[in-house]
Amino acid sequence: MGGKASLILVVGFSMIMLYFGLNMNRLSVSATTNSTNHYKLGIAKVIAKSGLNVAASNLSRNKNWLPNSPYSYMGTDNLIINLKDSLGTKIVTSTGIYQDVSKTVEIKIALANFSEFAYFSNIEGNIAWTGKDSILGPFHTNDNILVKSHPYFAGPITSQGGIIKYFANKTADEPIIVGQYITGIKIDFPTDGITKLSTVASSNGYVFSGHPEVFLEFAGDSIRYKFNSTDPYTTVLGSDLTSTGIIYIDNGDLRVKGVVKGEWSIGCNKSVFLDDDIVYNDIPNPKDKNDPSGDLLGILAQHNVIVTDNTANSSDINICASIYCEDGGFQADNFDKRAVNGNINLIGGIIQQNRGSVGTYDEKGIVLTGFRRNYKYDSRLSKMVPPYYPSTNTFKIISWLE
Amino acid sequence: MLDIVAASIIGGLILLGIISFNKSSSEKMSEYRGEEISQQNIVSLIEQIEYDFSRIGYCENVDSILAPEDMIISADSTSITFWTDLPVSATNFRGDGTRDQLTYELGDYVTETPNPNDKLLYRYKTGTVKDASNLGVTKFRLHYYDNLGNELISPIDTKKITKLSIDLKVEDIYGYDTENPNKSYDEKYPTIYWRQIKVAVKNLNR
Repeated sequence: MGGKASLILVVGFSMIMLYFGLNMNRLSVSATTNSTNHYKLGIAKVIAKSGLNVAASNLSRNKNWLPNSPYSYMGTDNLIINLKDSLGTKIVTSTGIYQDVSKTVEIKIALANFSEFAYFSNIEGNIAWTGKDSILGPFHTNDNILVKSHPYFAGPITSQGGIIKYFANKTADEPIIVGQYITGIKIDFPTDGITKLSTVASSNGYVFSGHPEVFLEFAGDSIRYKFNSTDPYTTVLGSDLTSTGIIYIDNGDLRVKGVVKGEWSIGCNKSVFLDDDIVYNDIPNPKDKNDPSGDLLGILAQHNVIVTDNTANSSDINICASIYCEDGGFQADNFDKRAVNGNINLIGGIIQQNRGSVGTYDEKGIVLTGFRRNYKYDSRLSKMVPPYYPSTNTFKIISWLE
Repeated sequence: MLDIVAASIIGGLILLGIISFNKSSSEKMSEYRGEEISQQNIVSLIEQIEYDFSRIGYCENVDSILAPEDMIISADSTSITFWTDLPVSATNFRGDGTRDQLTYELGDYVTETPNPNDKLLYRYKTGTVKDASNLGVTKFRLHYYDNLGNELISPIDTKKITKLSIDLKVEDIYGYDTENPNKSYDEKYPTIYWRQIKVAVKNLNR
């Protein structure tokens, strides 16, 4: 009897212990599985992002690169990269698989154009950005950035030089930067942008040749032109001159002003002079990249784009354009001798080889001669390109999806 | 007679053993169960937060993508509202091309649970009902950084945000023997998971 009771007692206890043991074990396994799945998801995400890096690296070397999936990374055949072209945008989809967990990441990229910059320079020289300056859009220089009295930069900022040079010291001069700031990036500045404009204009635009100067005035739907300042203007319908919006002056300077309607790119293989305001018929809200204004202007010069020293520009000049200077810069004529002429109110962007001067300033940034800079980035340039504008040959990320 | 006394003593000892074993195993089971739930909660939260925050500024329709400085609408230490494009479905991670406003917000203390520190963490799309599950969140603290790695101080200038980190703490909301005045808080709620999540939002760094 005693033996049976003992047996029942031992078996009973064993059953109870087994029950608790199994429960504990199940909880342990569940917690470990939970943790492991999270880890596996993390690894799958890393593999997928690596796929994007593989694609970006190859595309930067060869714009026509195509993936050859599957790839093996931390496993076998566990990285699948797909590439689709859609209206100039490349969609790269990368799926990383780690054991039984997969993760997909997708980016949309497109070729960047110089017109997308609010400001670009190959060489900054020794001109400082001051507390009176603000750049509200993409900024790049292949040089260093000299700053004085806290200039304001809002937008992705990249530079090759990498070091922000302080005019006095960091405390007195440190810039206010809103958005991304990356150093060590070089974007090659083209040497054939104007040559290509000439070629495009010859086949699909309008070319003025044989004149050392061409005076061009935009007048809404019309364009007025002459070849001597004392000549009367010839007026034509813009669309009759060219349907592509590309006008090129071969071997001459371009002097321009007026009210621009529609999309135009004008340029020459010498310099462009801004004789008076050159503005859009429908001036966009610079902050609204979806502004419905259909007016857009690219001004492209082999050498400089110059604000003329004349009566018309003696009290402010208003400019709506993306300005490109292949081996020169955007500057004001007699910038260090002319009177104080108010503001340069620019809606657009400046892309130049060398940074030009538009005035001189005292220690506090007060204008001594020339102009105060009031530059506003036309946000539409982040997605709109004037009829012809040089490309950077680099890709930009439009969107990132995980 | 001696047999009966001996049997009673042995039986009593066994009974005491069983009661003690039962008490201790119940406590451990409760603790482990709470641990499992808390761990599942924090993993789910982390995955959801990483998923949502990585999509800040994304929109399937690229024409609707805002400038990086406009992608975060408001931000403070316990809440953030940003533009995103929520997935079409559980199986399609792409958005429908229309921007959505998503808010994460730490609510008030939950009074219905024994744990005195748990709060509701709300995640809701603007225009929908503000709802939340109690996952035992006792800390949800957002930190924001500018492009130079400096932590932004309150009031947060949302235009300067390029990176975020989140301190997240999850506790067992029920605990064990929580009415016992002789137990410390740590003994009543022994399960605490803490994690700092760092998010470098790619769309903010375009």
